[in-house]
Amino acid sequence: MTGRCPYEYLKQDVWFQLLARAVLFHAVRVHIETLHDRATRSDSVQHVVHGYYLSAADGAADAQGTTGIDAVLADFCTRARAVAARRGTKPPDAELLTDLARLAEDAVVQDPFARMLERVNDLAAREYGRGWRKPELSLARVTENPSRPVYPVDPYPITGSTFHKPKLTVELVLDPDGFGPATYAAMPMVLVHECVCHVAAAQRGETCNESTFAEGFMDYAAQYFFDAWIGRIDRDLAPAAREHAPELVHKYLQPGNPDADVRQDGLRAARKLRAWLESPDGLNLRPTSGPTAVADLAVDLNRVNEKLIKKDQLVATLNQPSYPPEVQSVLKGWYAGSTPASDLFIVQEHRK
Amino acid sequence: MERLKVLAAAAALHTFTVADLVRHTGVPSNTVSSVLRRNARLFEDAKPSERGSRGRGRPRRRYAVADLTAINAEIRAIEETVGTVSRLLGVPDTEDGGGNPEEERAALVSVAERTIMRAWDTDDADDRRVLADTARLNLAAVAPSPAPDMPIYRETSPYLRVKAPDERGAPSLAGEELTVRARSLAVLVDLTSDAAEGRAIGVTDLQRAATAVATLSGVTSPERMHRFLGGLVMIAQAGDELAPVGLVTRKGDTPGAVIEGVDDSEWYMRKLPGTGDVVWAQRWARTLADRRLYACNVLYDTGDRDEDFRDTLHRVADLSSLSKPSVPRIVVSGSYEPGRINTVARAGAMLLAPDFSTDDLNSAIGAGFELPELYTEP
Repeated sequence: MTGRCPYEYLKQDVWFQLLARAVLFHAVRVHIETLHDRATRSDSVQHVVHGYYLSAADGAADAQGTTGIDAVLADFCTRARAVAARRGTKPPDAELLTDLARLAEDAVVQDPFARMLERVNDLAAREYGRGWRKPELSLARVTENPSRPVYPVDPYPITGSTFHKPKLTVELVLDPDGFGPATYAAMPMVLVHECVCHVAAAQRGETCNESTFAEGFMDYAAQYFFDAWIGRIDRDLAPAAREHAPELVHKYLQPGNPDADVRQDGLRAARKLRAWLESPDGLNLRPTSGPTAVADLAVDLNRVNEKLIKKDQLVATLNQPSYPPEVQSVLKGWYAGSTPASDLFIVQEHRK
Repeated sequence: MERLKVLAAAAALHTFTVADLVRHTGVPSNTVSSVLRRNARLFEDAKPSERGSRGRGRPRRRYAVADLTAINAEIRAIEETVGTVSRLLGVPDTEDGGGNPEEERAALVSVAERTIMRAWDTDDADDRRVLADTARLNLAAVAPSPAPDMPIYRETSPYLRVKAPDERGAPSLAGEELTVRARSLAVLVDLTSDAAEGRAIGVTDLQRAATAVATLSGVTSPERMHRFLGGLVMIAQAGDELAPVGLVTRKGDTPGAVIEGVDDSEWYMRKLPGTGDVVWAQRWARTLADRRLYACNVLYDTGDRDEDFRDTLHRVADLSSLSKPSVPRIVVSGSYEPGRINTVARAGAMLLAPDFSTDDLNSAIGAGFELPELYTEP
């Protein structure tokens, strides 16, 4: 492929910078956690990484395509080896830089964003089965961190959105200047959230960030599937992705973050449902089966073409200290395979 | 995952080396070091007496837990935010949801607020009913167990029995605020639900609603307060009542003399300091008026002299500055001359014809509550 920007809402120079960083992070992903760590506290590693960012910025000014990215990558390898060879460089840093250069040399200039969405899409399609529609990818830039930073320097300047019209699209919104190794490691969680929670959502085309179902209850399922899929999304990135996903989720749940209350409320309902499923009064499931059942039910409910407010109402019911008998009955029937999940909305309608 | 394992092992061991944590958790040493570094505020160097016997060679750095409460809070935060963490570690979620109770109560009340506001935003009565029910369920989850010591508004509504969170002692300030919010919100949820189901809304109901909104003014943001007043307008209109207004008249005038068909005995008067004018509010909205909260200020102007007109407009501007959040203004004027209209427009007010009725006013406030349409030219 060439370095020409395939994304409608991204300027060529921004795309060049994002692509340059993502290609490097992908190539060295087995070390991405160490890179994230050392890039902030080791002068040698920081020098090489920031040098790469500056080269990418310079390259962006007159980027013509693949050649440009290759040149920037080659520059990275040269600089990394040179710094590794310096007398003052600490042995662990030198070892890391040498290895980064070796890996970066073999980097293939492909679109890592599209490749990652492709993998997540394949896994989500298998989970959702018939009716799944493959989303397109869009990248967009924000000049400021898209969510409220929790840390002085937020390593996760990334968020996602899903649009159903005019075309089904998953959009990653990034701050190109803050896009670092941790951001790349957190990206699978963002994409899994968008695919599991929003791409297959059948709620009459409605979207609402205030929905406890869409943003909270479904996020429990997203976290579950992230954990189950990450090895297949990218085995080499998996350890770092597992490290950073909880940090990202934690950030979005911080008080003061937009919609943190909604997310927390929905997650709480999912946890309560799990507790009920594992309780003797419920289905007495093993602790290993409870989360699976909650995630499966979430997916089933997400497929039901029902108003989002009805789904939020169900989440509020699942947040109660005890469940009405008719709700318990449908949950048991659903687990046994004899009752569709959609019956939960019917009993909800008749509940007084 | 790794972070959780390291923090949990550190909390259990109290003093440790990196090697100890590696041995106990199976997490690579560089990751252990990284976790310790990133959470440096939670740990300190162990005291000499806790360092153990020294062997040969360079002593390994030994850490001690500096803040066990904070570590436990971190561990709980990770567990509650990432369900998969507890699943992988085989820790079942607890029956009460497993999170921080106070934070969860706050989230539930906040979501209930947002949900009832969504209900006020929709024109569909069925959707409004569903959203009111959802808000009610959220409030019910705030206080699962009845607290008979707390007064309730309606015997049949268990969610009104909201109890302060700390059952072991005095409730925290945040907990008390939360309780106030939840109880006040419950009244509005009740009445929104009643309105959606076509039940009659009486003056007593409106008094309760006004008291609830007035109470919320002390514990919520101006932005949300604005929305609560909007909800109260909706509830009042469902009860065929005029929205809670601040009606400004000249000394000696009464609401009955100004608005067609209103009964003066149902109005409550407050004098405006220094102007000689008075502001009237419906008697049921007295608790709001005492806090200078109105959905709208209505100024009746005779239009006799331009100077007076401008003076009164000026006073109305003062009045609105007293009423946070800022409220729309409606000027009832006998004439629509361009000069006057421009003055009104500059004041950010809406001009209403003098023969307006309570229905006209309701309609003007309901439709244009967010920002009244301005007349620029006739």
